[in-house]
Amino acid sequence: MGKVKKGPKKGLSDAGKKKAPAKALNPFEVHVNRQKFQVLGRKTKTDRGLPGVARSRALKKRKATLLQEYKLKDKTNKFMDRRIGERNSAMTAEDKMTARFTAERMRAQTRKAMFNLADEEVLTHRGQTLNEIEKFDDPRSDDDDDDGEDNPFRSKGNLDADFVGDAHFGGGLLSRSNEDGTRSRKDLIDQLIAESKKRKAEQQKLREQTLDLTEKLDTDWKDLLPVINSAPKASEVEKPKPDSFDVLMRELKFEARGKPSDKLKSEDEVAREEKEKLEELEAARLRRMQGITESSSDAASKHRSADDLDDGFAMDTDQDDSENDESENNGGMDIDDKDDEGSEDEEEEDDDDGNDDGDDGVGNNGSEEENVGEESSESEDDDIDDLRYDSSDNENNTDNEEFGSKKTKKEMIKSTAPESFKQQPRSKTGNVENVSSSSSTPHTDKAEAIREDLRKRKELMDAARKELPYTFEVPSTYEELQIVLAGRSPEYQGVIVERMIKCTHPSLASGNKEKLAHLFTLLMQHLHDAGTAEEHENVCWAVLDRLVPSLFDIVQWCPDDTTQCIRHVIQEKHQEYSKSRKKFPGVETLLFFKLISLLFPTSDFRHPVVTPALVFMGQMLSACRLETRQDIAKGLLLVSLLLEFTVLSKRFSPESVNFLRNVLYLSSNLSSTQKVTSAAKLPAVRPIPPVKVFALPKLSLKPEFEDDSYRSHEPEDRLSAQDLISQKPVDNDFCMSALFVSLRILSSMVKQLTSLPACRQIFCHFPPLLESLCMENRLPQRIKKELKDLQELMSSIKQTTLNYLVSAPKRPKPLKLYEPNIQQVYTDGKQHRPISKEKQESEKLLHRYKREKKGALREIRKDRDFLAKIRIKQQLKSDAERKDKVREIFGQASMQQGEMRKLSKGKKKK
Amino acid sequence: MAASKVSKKLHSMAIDFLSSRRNANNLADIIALIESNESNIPPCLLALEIIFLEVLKRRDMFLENPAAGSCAVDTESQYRIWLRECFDDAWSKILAVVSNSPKISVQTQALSTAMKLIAMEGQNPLEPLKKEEHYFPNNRLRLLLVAILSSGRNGGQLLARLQEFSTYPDVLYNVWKQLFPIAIGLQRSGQRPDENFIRNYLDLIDKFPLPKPGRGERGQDHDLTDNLLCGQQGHNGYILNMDHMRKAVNKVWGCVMHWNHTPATQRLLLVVLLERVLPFLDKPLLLTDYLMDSLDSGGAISLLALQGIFTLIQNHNLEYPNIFSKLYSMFEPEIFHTKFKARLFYLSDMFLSSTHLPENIVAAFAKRLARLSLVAPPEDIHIILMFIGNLILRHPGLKLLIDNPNRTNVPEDPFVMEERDPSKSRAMESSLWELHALQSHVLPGVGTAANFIYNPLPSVEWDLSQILEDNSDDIFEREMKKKLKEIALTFDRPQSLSLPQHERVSQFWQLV
Repeated sequence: MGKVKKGPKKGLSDAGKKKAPAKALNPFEVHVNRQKFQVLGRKTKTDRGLPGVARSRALKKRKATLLQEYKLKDKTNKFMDRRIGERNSAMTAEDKMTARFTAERMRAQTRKAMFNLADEEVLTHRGQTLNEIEKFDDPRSDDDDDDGEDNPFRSKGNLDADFVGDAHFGGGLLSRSNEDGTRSRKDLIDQLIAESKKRKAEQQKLREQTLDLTEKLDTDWKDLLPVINSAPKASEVEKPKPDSFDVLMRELKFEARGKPSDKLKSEDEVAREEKEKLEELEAARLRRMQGITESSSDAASKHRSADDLDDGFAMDTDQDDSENDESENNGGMDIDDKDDEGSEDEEEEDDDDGNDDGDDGVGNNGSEEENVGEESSESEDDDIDDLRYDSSDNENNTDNEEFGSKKTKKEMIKSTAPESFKQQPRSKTGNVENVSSSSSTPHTDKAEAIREDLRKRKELMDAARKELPYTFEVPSTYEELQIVLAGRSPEYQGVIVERMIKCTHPSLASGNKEKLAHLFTLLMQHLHDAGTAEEHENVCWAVLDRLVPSLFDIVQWCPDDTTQCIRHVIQEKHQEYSKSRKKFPGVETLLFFKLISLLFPTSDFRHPVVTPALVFMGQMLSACRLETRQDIAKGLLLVSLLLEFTVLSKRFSPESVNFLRNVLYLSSNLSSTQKVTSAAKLPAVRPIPPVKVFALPKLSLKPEFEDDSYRSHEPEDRLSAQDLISQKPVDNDFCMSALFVSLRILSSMVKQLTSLPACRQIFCHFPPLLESLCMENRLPQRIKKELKDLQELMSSIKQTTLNYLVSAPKRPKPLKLYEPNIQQVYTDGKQHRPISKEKQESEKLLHRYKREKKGALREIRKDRDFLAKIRIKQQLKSDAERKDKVREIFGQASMQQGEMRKLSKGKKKK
Repeated sequence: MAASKVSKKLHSMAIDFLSSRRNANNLADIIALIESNESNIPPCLLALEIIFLEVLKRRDMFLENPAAGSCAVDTESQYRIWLRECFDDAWSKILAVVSNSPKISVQTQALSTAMKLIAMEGQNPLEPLKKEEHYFPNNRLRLLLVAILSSGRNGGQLLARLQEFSTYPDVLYNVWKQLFPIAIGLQRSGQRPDENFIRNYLDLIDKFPLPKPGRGERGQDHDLTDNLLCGQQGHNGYILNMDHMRKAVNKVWGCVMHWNHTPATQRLLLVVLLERVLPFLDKPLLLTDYLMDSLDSGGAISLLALQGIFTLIQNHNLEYPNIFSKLYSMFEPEIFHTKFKARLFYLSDMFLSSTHLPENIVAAFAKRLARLSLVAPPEDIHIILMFIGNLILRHPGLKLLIDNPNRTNVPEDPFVMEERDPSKSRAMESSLWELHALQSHVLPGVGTAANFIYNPLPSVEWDLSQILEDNSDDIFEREMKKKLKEIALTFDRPQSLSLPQHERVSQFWQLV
């Protein structure tokens, strides 16, 4: 009970506070919904209501709208409100007023009204005519009014209360009996007039006095003003000088805090970090190779001990750590870059560091760049061993320099030129070394020649650097790019693009990333066009060779756009290819596969760029016909690319194995000499489609030497880019080098796959082919040796034993842990179900719809009730009227009857 | 201009001819004109069409007594006989156009003219009919068919045009009826049908499908009169006689089988046999020998023959002991590059669907397929993997192939790939190492699909039908659609065309 009583009071006070000017509520009209429990923090909207008020409001509204409509129902006549804006709910009251006013003014401007002099326009302000306002324009009047209000008795010569009381109402008996009751009324009035005149005069005087005084005060004040204004200034000047200690303290307090910078690292540390970073990146790559994504690795490797309480305390902190590290490393490159940007000054230092690091391994290497060419061959081996670390160091250096600002451009270019040169020849020599080591016979003179070539190229590049302007704008259209690059040699093109990128480094301006991404697409087009050029001027590989570092940089900066671009290129190429499936596409297509292997990690289990490329390459290898020299060359390039793609992941592609099998078949004498019928009998040496089994192949790769010239004939180590485009028929040289290359590819492929148990089955078709090749006597020595090696390799594969497949042992089922099903409880009173945002939104809408529907139904019901009530009221009213009338008529009739009867009685009596 | 002039002239000639008998010689002129010039053919055809449609409608060629016609003396019957001769002459010219004209459009026009004339003649017979007999100008139809069949390469398009008439039951019936006389006529005259003729003939059979047996029987009490090409007035109740049809089919097939077939036509023959004719043959078991012979010819033909044999086994209780070894020998590397690959997988899935087959045979299939998967294109590897998975699911004994804990190792795979007999291939002693190799296939899709040997097997078989028609473009598209959140990039900055590490291409290529 107490609560009930308390409730409304409290509520009333609340309500009063909320809308102070509102009328005080009648406490009997308030309905309170009592809360059973008071919950802290819960907002209650419906704790009290005013049912009576609400009902009457609703009724009023219905009367204004629904009742009017009801009355007008089935009526042809209608009352229209033609007042301006009355029916337009969009207009506010003010709008309406102005609209009406303008309409009125318009009417006044009509011709008729022009001569209506009497009805002159009276301008008003707040209901007063302007004339009136002007009269009281004197500002002093305000004060007077106030005075008047303050002393009502003295104001404006009014009669005072005593007098009025006496004169008008006589003052009663007592007063009359007082002193001068004899005075006549005339005297009294005279006295009254005199008095009031006197008072008026006094007032007049007083007002004049005050007026004078105020004016005097004003003038005085104006004189004083400068004094008053200057006073505070003086006080400011006098302010004591702050204590030097305070100043210092404040300075210290508000000084921008220095960010903790990385401590200066020693050379060892830098090197170690570099190494760690690379190792971690490599680890991430390995993980991707196995197809383990971040999330899955998390789920799979999360070991749960039997004692795990599921309390969130994880034992496997080390894993988390490693993951963190990894994420850092993913962004590692960028972070480093940023650091480098800031530290231009350190460039020189870093530079030295890099060289020093190089010195660790190489000794004479880092000293001077120019002597690369003259390096003695004995130091080469060491050189190559250290090449990896070395190049990574150098890479950083070049990065640093690239990120330099424009100020230091001149110096920078001086330093970069030899720098990037230094490593290019090195990596070159490294590759050459690899090649020669794989072919097991050192060809020093060849290496020498290559080195010579490199030196020439370096000189060319230097010349290019000197000749070209230092800054280049990134072109916006392909035509502009062509203007810049057309006619330049690949070296020049490389330098131009490099400088373009330097001038639009992403750190220099905000839109540069987009510009670079655009440049990337343009460069793709450029590469493509270079690939489709004529035979004798086809320099596409050289162009790619020079553009690759720049392309790599762009890809690192904006991976998303460039990846999209490359994917687009592949898709386009694939569409082109699917128009003629039996023909190898042009060099410009193959070019992009090499680019992909340079820009993207080809060892990933699945990669948005690499995987489609792999599918595409496989399609070409398995469907394209082998009819010309080009076909063989392109196929072999694809096979070697596939080998490169899979060298780390050690994956296996049936298409490339099949292709090699076909090439060997074509170069063996089986293809030409064997009878077609017997081919079917020997399934082991059958070629695989697209090479036809039963028909003679259109192309033979079998070298034909008439005499003993084969002895002097040494096959080329490597096929050349010219083979990809030349229209010449197959000659002995090409046969030899194709055979030699495919044998070497085969051997490295076999080595790559030896770990697979089915390796012998994958390559089971090759031993007979190799045997038949061996039978051929007229082969150069190197090929024979290669053949022998391969045969040995094949037989060594056969030596291994095969372990039977065993499926993973079944893990024991973990005991069921009856843990409480803990659910998150949120205290904000809302439901937290794990639903998607769209679903949440739709549920919200549904809820609102239901609520609205309910409300609308209720309104309709009330409307119906209202109308029903009105109808019954009308019915009752008309019934009552009818009854009255009936009664009246009956009354009249009975009176008539009575009179009739009276008359007839009278007659009877008579 | 000249052509339109000619056509206008011919048109007016035709109208003149029809308006008065005095212009009768116009007809002879037109018929003569058709052979004069290649460009004149279409307007001539039109003019002939106009003339003879009208003449047939007027029954100007109608003779009460055809036998007496030759010795008739009155001018009226002489005129009629002359008209008839002209009609025959014109008909043969039209057919010559159909079979020999180099232009396909002219040929089709001639064909449609011929069909219109047939329809009109059928509706207005040239001779009095016996009661309740349905008249169809069979002679003309046969000649037309011969013309189409001998039209060489273009036959296919003409047949496609002719196929539009196959919805008329009387055309359908009479075409089938005429097929046998055509075939037997050839045989009697001692001619060997050439390849194009056979192809067209088979195409015709393919394009004039026989009504389904069930439907045909219902059709007996069904009145087809409304839907006739040559429906005469006053004749009701045209009935498609299924027995006659069956007989015709059997006779035709008896002839066709004995022609000399090239591999291409034989393949077509088998397709037609399997899809159209087989259910109508009286004694399908007689086909067994033929199918056996085809089975040995290899490639697609043997595959189709195998399907025929399978149908015989399934529906006609054929017993054929060697069927599995035949199927087994069909799995060769070349199969992946034929059109009938999907059919083979579908068939073998059916053959091997029985769970009562001996395990060693099924194991041999699994092992052979696994071997083939090492040289197969990726889309086929998918199919093979699912196929093997299904085999293992059906025959739990085959689990030994992927999980053999009892034996540790062997020096050499005991499976004999060259063995023709699946039961002797020693597959059960082997293990599916090939699938293990496929796990490191270069495409991630294949790699994951091959993972099933290490995971617990599902309880429901894989659905092969969805992927049977997949090709490598589909795989490409799927890979292009896949979106990975982060794009991995290389971290070694290349300085030139060769990779900083693990460069392979430049070992074999001097590109720069």
